[in-house]
Amino acid sequence: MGYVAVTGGQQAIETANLLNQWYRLKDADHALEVTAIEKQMRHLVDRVISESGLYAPNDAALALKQAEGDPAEAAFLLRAYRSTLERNVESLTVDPGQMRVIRRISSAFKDIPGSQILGPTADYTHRLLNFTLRNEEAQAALKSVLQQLPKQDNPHTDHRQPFRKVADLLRAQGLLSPPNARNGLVDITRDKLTFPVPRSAKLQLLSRGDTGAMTALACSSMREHTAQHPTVAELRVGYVELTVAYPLASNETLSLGEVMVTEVETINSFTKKDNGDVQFQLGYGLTFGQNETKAIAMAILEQRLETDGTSPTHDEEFVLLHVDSIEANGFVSHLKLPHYITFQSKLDVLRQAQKLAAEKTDHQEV
Amino acid sequence: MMNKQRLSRILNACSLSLLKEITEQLEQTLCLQVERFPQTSLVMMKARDSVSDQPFYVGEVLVTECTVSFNQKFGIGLVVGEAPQRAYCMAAVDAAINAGFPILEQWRERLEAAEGAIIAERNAECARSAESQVHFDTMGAYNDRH
Amino acid sequence: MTDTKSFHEVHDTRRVYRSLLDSMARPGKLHDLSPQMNSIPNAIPLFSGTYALGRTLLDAQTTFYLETENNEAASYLELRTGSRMLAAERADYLFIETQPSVDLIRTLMQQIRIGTLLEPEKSATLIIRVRALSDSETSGITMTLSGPGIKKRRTLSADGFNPEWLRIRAARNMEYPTGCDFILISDNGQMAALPRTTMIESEAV
Repeated sequence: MGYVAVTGGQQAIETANLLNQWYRLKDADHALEVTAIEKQMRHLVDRVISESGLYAPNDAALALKQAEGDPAEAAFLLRAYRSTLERNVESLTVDPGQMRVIRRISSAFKDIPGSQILGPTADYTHRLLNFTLRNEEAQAALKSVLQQLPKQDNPHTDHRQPFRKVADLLRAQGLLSPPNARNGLVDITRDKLTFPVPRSAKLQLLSRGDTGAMTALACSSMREHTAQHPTVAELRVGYVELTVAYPLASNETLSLGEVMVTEVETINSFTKKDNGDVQFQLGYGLTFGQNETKAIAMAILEQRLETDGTSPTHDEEFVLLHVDSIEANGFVSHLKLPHYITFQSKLDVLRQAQKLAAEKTDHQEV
Repeated sequence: MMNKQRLSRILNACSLSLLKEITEQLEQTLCLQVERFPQTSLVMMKARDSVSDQPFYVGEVLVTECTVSFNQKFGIGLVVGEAPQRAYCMAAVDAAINAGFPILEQWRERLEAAEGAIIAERNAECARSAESQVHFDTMGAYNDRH
Repeated sequence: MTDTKSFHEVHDTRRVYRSLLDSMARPGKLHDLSPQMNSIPNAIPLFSGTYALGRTLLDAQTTFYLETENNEAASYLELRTGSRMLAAERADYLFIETQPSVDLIRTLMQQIRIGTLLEPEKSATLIIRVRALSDSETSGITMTLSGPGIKKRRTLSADGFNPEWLRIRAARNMEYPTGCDFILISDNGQMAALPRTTMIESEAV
């Protein structure tokens, strides 16, 4: 069998691309506005910016429009876009402890300093489909919501005062054990992953991992270790300030604006130290946007990877090589590309095996 | 003291019209030169992981950057998102300040007013969220009261 | 940066980059960068070839080493590209504007990064200024090239190119895929590449 390259697909591919556009538009009364996607599909946009590793909500909305709502395709488009852009600076280290918080809960302590603030969430709803959204008029609906919201007791309170972290309280009481992590600041967009993976690379990879994959793995890990059910010490959503060193003078800094993030600290298990002390081990999750389930899954997986064990979620290669949306989707969907030659060779092998088996039977019958 | 951090915190969030007003005044009196036209680029965001207390890279943020010069003095505009006009204006203001132009003195009141408005708006958002604060009552106390 | 107005940071660097890709794919093939280099004012403290390639290849994520006689050249290139000058053994791109002594060539060629078998991409690229390059006339040293990207053989002559570069290049590029890549650029803007895969025969070596 020769190795035959085939052509002839070009026209078909061009038409297929046009057909894709036709299906996108053929039943549309009006084209989707990118800003409407950005502002009203918040969680989808947040998922895409987090899985692409590029904080660009408006471009994420555009990518979602182009991808007709497929978050994996949209994240792929954004990651391709980021590879065309220059990167001249990195930020100063953001401290999520300084976050301007809009939501903050703890399932470990009810009386946390600064108290529990539910913020924007659908966690406490009955999941009844709201048919009134079918005929919603934006301005009127907004007015109605504003009328129903409680009047603010003290709108002039200064919210720049950061909330103290629950983990810091535990640490102050000597209840937390620091991880035995491999240090070193690695950037996985620049350097390839080498095992064992430094903690910084693990966190970066999980932070831009696939929500579904990470949730599934975290769920499997929780079912496996039922005795060590993790507890959310703190989950906070809010804005952090992006600051860089001023490029023209060393003693100044510049504020570039705010970035929305979700941060989670989980208490996963106890650990016994060499000196006999028993302490909590924390897990850490931080993602762009409001991605709460993913951030919790990240904290669970991160902590699993820092501890030894026999289950798959303790295995760095198993977790880290499979949770990237772009890589996993690319690998699975590449199966749609022609594999004519490899399949022919499989057929050959099968026929050869059948022939040999038949000859053997003939031989025995003689 | 209006250092670059405080000024940029105002200029990246204030109304674009105020920034344009300042920039137009500069353009009339100074010969500003665009060194690098506004372009979108990336800033890698580094954050502190509170468990290990070490930094890691969270991901990249799309920003717009621009460089303007006046009298050989450079100025830089850097802002989150795709905002070419804002980045240009911020660079122009920065160049003028670096060249010793008394922009902060001239516009102090307007800038401070803009700063106040930004803080008030952010406070209002957080205050609104704070209305969803949970006021726990233990069941015992609940029963005593009712 | 009033002095660089005519060299366009997008369009001109794209053209230079396309030429670079093609010269790497077709080793020894001449590319004319003179239109881009002529648009760079004479007042800058750099060879215009260094400037054109530097603006194309360097940014804040890359590093360079510069062998020059002008004290202001390195900081000028740093300011224009956002890149940083490092020692030769740590730099991604080494620009050689001068005619270095044999000793210096040996030192630089021993210091230059050639990558490792696992990470051959961690190697560096040398950009060497020569007086003239030609594929027809024979001046200076004449090289007969073969290897990937060359149908049979190609001839390249370089004037003002010390054969010591080639002698040590052969030793450093012995173990493929490790090695370093050469880009030659002449005073009048002719450019040719000698990637690590190219075999070079020359009477001068």
